[in-house]
Amino acid sequence: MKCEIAIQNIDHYFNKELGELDPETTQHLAGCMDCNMHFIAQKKAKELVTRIIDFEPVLNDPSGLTNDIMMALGDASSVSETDKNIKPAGIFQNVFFRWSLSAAAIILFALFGFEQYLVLDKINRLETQYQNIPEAKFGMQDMNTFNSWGIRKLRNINHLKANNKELFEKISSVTNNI
Amino acid sequence: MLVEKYQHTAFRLAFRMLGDEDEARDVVQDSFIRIWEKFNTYNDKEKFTSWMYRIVSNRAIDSIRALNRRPVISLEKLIPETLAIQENGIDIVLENREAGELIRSITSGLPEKQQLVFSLRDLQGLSPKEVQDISGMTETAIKSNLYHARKTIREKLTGILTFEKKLL
Repeated sequence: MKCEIAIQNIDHYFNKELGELDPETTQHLAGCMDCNMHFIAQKKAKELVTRIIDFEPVLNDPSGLTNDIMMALGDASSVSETDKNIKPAGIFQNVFFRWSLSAAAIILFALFGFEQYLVLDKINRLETQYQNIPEAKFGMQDMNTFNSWGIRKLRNINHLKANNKELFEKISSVTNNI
Repeated sequence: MLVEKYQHTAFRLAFRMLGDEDEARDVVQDSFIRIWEKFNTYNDKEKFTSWMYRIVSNRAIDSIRALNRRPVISLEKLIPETLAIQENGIDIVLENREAGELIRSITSGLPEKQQLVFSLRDLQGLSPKEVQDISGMTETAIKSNLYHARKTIREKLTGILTFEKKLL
């Protein structure tokens, strides 16, 4: 038997993958110093682990630990109790002042809330109105058409003015006098 | 009183996970503060010790993470200094300090889950069901982690003991 196989078998045996060592490995161990040493080392390692497993840690000075824990718990509880018992300072101790402060805060909150509502409502209404004017209703293309229509109208008025100069002068003089 | 009744059990688990008496005491103290703070969340259908172990092991893991930054005495140095290795077997009387150093040396370098399962199952001797409740791992994961932890530890020790034996 080769040493590698014997060592593999020994490891399997100690890892509980093998119930017991086969006779061939046992025979090899009797004649091979290195494999024998490996077997003994594995056995001692197992013993050592068992000893560590069996070891019961001793709690020295248990009452000292209890006291430490109780003190730590006392600190922890007193911190939270102090948090609960924090009292307001100076004028804030006055109940009437605190109530007034709360009422003022509520009124301010309501006022600002109402104003906010008014502004939003105004914006909303403006948006609705804007939707109703032709420029907004139609797209950019429609707006250009609308503008060109207005220019054409203006051109027509200028044309009229040129042809009826006298009449327009009369009208403007009358309008100016008024 | 709750503290007096359970502090020994909590200490044993903390010590087995940390291998350090002072650190274990700190973990126990922190754990009881946590227990006191979270007592309203404790479900009385669960075993109190399981709930406590979960708190203690979580605190201990936090502490291990911090301790991992500190150097651990190597097993090569520790074994000849601490143990009387004799031909017929190992004859030792372990005390907190030696056992702690050994625990730290053999578990150092193990992945966190393997370390937790090894401490709970092998060192603390809890049942697979309890380990499952505390760690939140599946039965298969516990078995696998425990197998690898045991194998790594034994291989580590075997290597050193073989070397020691050759020197004799």
